[in-house]
Amino acid sequence: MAVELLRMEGITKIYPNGFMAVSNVTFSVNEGEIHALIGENGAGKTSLMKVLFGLENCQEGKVIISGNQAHITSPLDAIAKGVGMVHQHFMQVPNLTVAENVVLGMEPGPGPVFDAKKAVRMTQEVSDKFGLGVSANSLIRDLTVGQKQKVELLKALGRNVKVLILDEPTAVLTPQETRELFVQLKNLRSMGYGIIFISHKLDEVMELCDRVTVLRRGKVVGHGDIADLNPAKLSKMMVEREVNLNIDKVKAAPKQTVLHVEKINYLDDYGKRVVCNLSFGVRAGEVVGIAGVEGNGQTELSEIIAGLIKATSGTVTLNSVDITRKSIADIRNLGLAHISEDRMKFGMAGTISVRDNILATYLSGDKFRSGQFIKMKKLDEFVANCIKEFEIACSGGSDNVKFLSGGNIQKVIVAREFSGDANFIVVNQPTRGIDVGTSDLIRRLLVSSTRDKDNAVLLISSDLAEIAEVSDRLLVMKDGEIVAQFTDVKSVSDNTLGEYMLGVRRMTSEEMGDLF
Amino acid sequence: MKASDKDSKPIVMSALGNRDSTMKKIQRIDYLYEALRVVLGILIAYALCLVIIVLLTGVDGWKDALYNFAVGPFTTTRRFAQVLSRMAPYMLVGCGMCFVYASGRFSVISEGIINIAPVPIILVMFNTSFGLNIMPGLPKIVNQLILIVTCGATGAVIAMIPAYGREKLGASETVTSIVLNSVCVYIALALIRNFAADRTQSFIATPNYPASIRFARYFGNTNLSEGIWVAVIGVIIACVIFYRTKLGAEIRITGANPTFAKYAGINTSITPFMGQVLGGIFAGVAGAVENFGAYNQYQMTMLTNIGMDGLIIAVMAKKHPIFVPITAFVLAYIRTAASVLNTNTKIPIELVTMLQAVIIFFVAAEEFLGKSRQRAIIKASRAEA
Repeated sequence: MAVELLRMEGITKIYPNGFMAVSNVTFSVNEGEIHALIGENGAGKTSLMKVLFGLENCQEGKVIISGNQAHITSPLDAIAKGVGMVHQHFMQVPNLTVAENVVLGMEPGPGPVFDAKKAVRMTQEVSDKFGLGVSANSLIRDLTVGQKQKVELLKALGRNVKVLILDEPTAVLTPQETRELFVQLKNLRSMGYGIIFISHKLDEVMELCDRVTVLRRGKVVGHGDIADLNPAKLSKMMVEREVNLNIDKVKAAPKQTVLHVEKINYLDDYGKRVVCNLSFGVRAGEVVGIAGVEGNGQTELSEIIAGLIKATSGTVTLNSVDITRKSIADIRNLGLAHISEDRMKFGMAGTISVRDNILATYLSGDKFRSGQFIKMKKLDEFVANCIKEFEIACSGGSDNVKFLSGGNIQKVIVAREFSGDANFIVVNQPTRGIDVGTSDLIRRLLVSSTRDKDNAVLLISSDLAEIAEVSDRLLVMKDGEIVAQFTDVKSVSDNTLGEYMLGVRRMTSEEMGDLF
Repeated sequence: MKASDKDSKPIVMSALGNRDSTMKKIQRIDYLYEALRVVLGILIAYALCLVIIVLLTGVDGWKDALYNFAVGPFTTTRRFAQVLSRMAPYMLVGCGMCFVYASGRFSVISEGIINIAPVPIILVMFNTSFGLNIMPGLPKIVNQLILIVTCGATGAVIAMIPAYGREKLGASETVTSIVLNSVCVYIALALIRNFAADRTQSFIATPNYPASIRFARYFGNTNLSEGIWVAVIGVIIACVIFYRTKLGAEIRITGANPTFAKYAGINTSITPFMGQVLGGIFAGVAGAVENFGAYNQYQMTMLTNIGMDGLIIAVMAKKHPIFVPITAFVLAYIRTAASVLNTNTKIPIELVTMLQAVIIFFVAAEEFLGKSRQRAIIKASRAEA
């Protein structure tokens, strides 16, 4: 009989906006066990873990750690009680060293004096003990994403926790780094740690975990030993319908080049060359995908194309017009639509209505304007149509966007960007954090807009399954350069892709062929 | 594919329907509590004032004082006319502040504009042959239009100073506008003293305005003037600009999320600039209504506080011009009640300043009633789940 490290009983969490994220959930972790917590986006996994880690309070339920009832009030409290968390977004100070980050909040030394040597020694000891292979003296900003994640692990392990929460740890990793992480996690399991592994990737769960709990709409809809389950059963539990990742698509028939970037460079605020001599084109009637580990210049590339930042050098041409120095309004009027990866920052304004959110990008054009006045009737019809066509769950166009769920907010954005007259759409991480149904709708839309309307689409995504499914042509970005092009996307294996993404291999320009 | 789509649709729709009605309920709760906060804020402030009145007036006078404060403004035509006459500039400044505040800026230059906006046209009135010989002969309505346009234009020009400083030079518009308010008062006074003062008066003032170059008073000689109609039209124009034009939409979107506005192609430095200029125009017109309606001559020697009151009105109206008439009335009523109290009892008029502070405190305090609001929302969600 395994020893139970942690038990959460009857947890219910309701957010201030009335969203019941978790409802009467019971969940436990044993010693030396990796327990998977799976479910669609918005199923309540992260909320449940935030309750456990003291980031959110819950309305009902109790937490029992090693047999004692615990009342966790803050992350510090959680750590003191033996629960550590590795966040999806790393919480690190880039200008400090690994050691300084690890000891942050428990700095060693006599009184207020910081003993840097001791900090390094402590960190290195933990790193060596668990075989993480991180150098305590390097600066965080010089590390790769995989190493940064290990620093997060170090932060937890250095504080002597017994239960580790990993929130979608593989989302930012390449296949190779993922495998390395799994080896380390299995190692930790054999040392008696209890690990909670949050994911939506079923193959990873099957490979790594011992037990699994499935959440849907905030409720437990299934749990059991991995040995008794298979991916098909799990996916059936996770979503209400079978996910059809196969998108029927007609073979692309690309026409003229719509977007062309020529030798663009971008230096960031630190003077680092983030985008490096990049040249490629996107033709009408095709979806061009850009794969790559996050932080290799994809964000900057999409922002340069959309006009949010200006390239340091080089030119961007849209529909044969040089848009490098043009304003965003001009670029949009020339035929650009843009779905940003950061939808809370760039995609919407929460305190105004759905109607105003949709209107925003049409203000510079004259679709809903006669002179300075807005054609309210035409706009209302258009908004009502968007709500209907995209199945946006709201009571009408005058609802505030902040009351919608993440998936519905993304639907508002997609409806806005896809219903206009744009013929080039740059799309960055369109389905991140979005439920399966909406993701599916967005992917189909990307394909159909190139086939039916002859649009050109540039899709940037870190979801390899998505990018392989949707793209007609696939480019791989590494260190701000294009290192590979695949014209037959379906035949590329994740492993090959991973090697290009990590920089193990790169194609010559002859191998890549014409980038248009 | 087609078949599975058909199968899954009813499930999805019913799930959406459920969430939909919950959301509607939650949104209603949210609006209810927003309104409750304003109303309760006013009530609590009012109650506090009553307590203070009772304490100050003692056992004998408190009934009388209370009566004066609560219903005083309704007791005579003159008093009620006073409420409406205060309301006129309040509505205009309040609408102007909605534009400033909704574009995400906090310029309080309206305060100084009230003083300085009428000065250019006054200089023309008393110094040029056009003002002395032609204007008095023009129809009243033409003169009133001239007053409104010149004062609005002056307001716009003055408002551009802190706006330009903010959008082009990065200087805080709040600080600049507060400092500029004093500058406005003294420049106005210097100009009046040197070019348009009536030397027969013992204080700095211009001669009386000719009857055809002002807003005529109503009900005999009350402060209520034709200017109230300017205010009514002003609110309508403000609502049209705010809700129905490109500029209004740009201002609302920029104020709600500047990065989103930039992404959508809205010019995020011109838009708040225009919001502040609009605020200046409305404040200028308010200055015209106040100076040429409630007074017979230009005699403002210090700040009037109308601009600051405009800010309070906009805050209470949650930056929606459509609610401005209501909140302007509330503030005008409270201020008038306080002055009624001041003349009839020994309670000082400054009482109302404290009242305002309490109201603002509750209206601005997002978490006031937060727990009860949260409970109501949880209850609603649970009933649906």
